[in-house]
Amino acid sequence: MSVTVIEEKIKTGVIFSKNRIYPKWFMWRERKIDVTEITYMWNTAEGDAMIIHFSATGAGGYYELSFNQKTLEWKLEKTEEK
Amino acid sequence: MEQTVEKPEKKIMLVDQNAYFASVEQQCNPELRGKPIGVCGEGRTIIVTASYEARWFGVKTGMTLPEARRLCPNLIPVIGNLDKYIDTSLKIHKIFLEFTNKVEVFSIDECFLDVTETEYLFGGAVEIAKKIKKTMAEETGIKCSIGIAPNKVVAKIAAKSKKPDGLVVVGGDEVKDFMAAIPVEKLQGVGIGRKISQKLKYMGINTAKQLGEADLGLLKSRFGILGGFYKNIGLGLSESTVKDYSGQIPIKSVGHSHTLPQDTYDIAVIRSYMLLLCEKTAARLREYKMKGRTVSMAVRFGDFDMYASRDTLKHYFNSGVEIFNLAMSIFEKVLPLQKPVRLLGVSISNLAVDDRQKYLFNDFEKKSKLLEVMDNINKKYGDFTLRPTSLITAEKYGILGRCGIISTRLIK
Repeated sequence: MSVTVIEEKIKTGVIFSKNRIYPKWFMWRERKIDVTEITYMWNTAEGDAMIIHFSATGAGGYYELSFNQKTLEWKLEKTEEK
Repeated sequence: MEQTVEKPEKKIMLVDQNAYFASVEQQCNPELRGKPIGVCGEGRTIIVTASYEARWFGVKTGMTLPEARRLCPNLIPVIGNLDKYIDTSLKIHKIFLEFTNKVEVFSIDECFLDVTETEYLFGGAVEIAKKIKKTMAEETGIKCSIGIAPNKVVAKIAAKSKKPDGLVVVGGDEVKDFMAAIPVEKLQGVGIGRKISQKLKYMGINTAKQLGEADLGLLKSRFGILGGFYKNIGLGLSESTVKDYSGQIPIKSVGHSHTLPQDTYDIAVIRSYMLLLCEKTAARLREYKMKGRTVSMAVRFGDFDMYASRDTLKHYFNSGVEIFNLAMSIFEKVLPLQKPVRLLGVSISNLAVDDRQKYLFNDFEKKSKLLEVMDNINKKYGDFTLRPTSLITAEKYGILGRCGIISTRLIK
């Protein structure tokens, strides 16, 4: 079991619930990966941009996504695919 | 008729998040739950925190990965993420602040709470403890051990006495009995370190009870004025109050430390790391609108031996170069290196508010303005977007932007 650092921009489908944003699926390397569960969330800052980080599980394994609230950019930061 | 009002017994809590970093990682990745994991630093093989599943095999903090794997062959190493742990800590502080504003942050995974004046609102201190446990589990998935006692010393020992997920209450009239059987080595973290507990054992003092009953003159002759302090710990006495969360001075010192990816004798690499640490320290200091006079530098060698020293200047400063010059002048005392360097740490203390006074000399004024412009750009676009050219050397050695933070973070 090992986590691979990816840091690639991704196209993401989201829902808004209780004033929060949650990823539901994302496209990565021409694959659509459905998010099964958001297991953890935390925040960081990059300059004046607030970043929300998500730990998530999907069919293929474990993923860490990030959402830059200033640029509205989604990234797949890390993965541990089975 | 004269009436005497008895002061209510203090209700102090110590909340200790169990196997904190490992628990956060297990919450993030369900595949890790119920498994023995060891949180390590990037490029390093030292266990920072082990999950309880790993602890059952004897894996402890500070072990090397090969040592830990000998005890627990299925141990899963996980690279830690300090940002995640700090953010989770702040979420946990918010939970505590629902019950009292007297919340003193002791470390990233421990807080003292004084609920003496607010417990009646929530059905008592034990009910508060249960609610904290429930909310923490629901919102973060983290378990904690809680000790409730009339003072901080006993609360901390009580919390440590039952892990994981413990709740231990020691009433005022139970303190003496509770402390009686506590071995002196279990008093670490309340003011008696490993070396002191060893010295106490040489003196035939093996339990808190024996420490409390020890002759004050003897303890003072051995430990000076701290003798009385140690005796009080043995007796389970402490006058220390829990600070108000908003009243805490969040910064007494600012610093960064970093464990190098590999132990090294190379002065160029050491200088680069030192410069990076100093620039990060200075940037944070300026972010807090502070300046300082005392620079402390610590170096840990490959054999875990430490050298630490400090130096104080007459004037206040907050530029990375000035911190670096002072830190390097301290470091030069260990030259030539007899053993490789494993970790470097720099911090600045003796702080004062930076009143942004105008300098009389043009050079100082220019430097001050330059730093201000740099900070504004970095604040907008991220740390080290604009950086001194000297840091390019640091990048050449693959030095990461991330270094450990040596200060306590509070909710702003």
